[in-house]
Amino acid sequence: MVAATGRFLIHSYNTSLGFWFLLYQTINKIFTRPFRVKEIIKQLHFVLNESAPIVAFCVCSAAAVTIVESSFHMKIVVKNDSLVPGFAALLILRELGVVVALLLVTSRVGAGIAAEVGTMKVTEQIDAFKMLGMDPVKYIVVPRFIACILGGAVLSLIANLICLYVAMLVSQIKLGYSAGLFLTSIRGFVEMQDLCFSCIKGAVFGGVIPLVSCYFGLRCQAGPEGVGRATTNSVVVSSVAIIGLDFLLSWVFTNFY
Amino acid sequence: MIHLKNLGIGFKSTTLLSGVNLQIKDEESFVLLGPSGHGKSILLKVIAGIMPPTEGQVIIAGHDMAGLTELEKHEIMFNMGMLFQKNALFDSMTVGENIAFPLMEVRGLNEKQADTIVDRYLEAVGILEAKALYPDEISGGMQKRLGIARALSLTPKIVLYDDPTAGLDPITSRKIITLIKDMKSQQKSTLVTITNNMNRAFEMADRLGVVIDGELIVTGSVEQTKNHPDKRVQQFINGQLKGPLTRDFND
Repeated sequence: MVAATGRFLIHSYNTSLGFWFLLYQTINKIFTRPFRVKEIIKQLHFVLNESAPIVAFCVCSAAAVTIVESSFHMKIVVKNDSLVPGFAALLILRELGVVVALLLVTSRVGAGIAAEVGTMKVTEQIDAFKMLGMDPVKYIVVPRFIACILGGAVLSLIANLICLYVAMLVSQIKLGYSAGLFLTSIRGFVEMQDLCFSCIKGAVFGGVIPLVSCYFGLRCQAGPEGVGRATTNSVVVSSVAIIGLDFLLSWVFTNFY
Repeated sequence: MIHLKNLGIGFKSTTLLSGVNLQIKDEESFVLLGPSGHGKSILLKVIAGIMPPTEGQVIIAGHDMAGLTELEKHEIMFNMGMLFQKNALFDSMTVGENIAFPLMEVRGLNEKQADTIVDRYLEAVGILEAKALYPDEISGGMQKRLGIARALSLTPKIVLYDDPTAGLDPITSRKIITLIKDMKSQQKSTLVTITNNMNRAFEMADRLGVVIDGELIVTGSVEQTKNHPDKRVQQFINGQLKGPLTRDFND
């Protein structure tokens, strides 16, 4: 038991060291030529275009559930659901929109990156990069890192707007609030900086996803089992990292109000 | 040009290679033989600079690879080309892009300049008609040819071939070896080749070495190899079932 715990701690320490080193290398190489704009755009398309429909669908459901559940509980506790639009909007902008969107991106884009990079490692393409004088971090990690940061920020904005719109619709249908009343109600609770902080969170979570996925992909063991394990690990670690970072960032942002 | 001094490599408690000493001269063609899983590919990757040795020195063109900065190491690797065992082709790029990509990114050529070189090398290896196809749309032999063209397009001084005829039929495999020899004489490069095809090995080697149990036995010329006194070498090159390499079988 003690030995297993020790091994786990050593492994976690080595993994986090490797991860920080990859982050350092990535940031270092963002500003060096060549800037692979075409590849960044291609990756941005993968992150944004191909993730947007699933994100939109899921945040719609999340918004509807938020309105219905908060109304139900407020009616039980305070016998009144007039604060639902404001609270729901606050919850959506500060937490729900960005976290749901980026967790979906983790399972879709993160898994895709880990599988792609892992396959490249297994089929010696990473070694080929090195032999051809090209740095794998510069050519593989950096474009995905930039694309996911931009994509994360934009997706969180889209998710928030869709979420708020659906919350407004559900409030109208279920609770009988008109659009004007809904908007007036949320104005007292929500500030512009909520939306800005949400985008910052989206960018940070977006940056974590390719770093974790590339980290596991670049250390992938041979064979399909190795690629599978790298993909699973990347999704699990990215999701845990996003939830942990969400807490940290929320804590930091409360100081700005 | 390539000098390995008392080289060793191991992972955790396992020793994969130990006490490897080898000198390969400029424009020499050195062939590595040996049973599967005994360390040939690892030795090639150590020479290529992809894998660092755990002991000893790799000296390329007079430079000890261990003492070089990342940039200096890149410059040395710039003069090396490698054909990987599984070809390591970039599967998201077309045949033409596989060659053009490093030319544009590393050499800084523009699209037109790169395209001229791509056409020249694809024509030399006989797959120009497949330029717009993706690697998984061409045959194994064509993939090997593409790997060779990509490795040679940067005109390296040292070319490393990891089993260039693996999985190919005898005619295609002869064509590949002829191609490698032709390209060598054109580019005046130094070759280190891994192959387990004895006929092809004897056809292309100036000198040979056999990697057995992580040890490199430099057997010399083709004739010297054929008459080498080591029983393991004899068993391997003659493909005998009984001998020191197959103790389990003997029992």
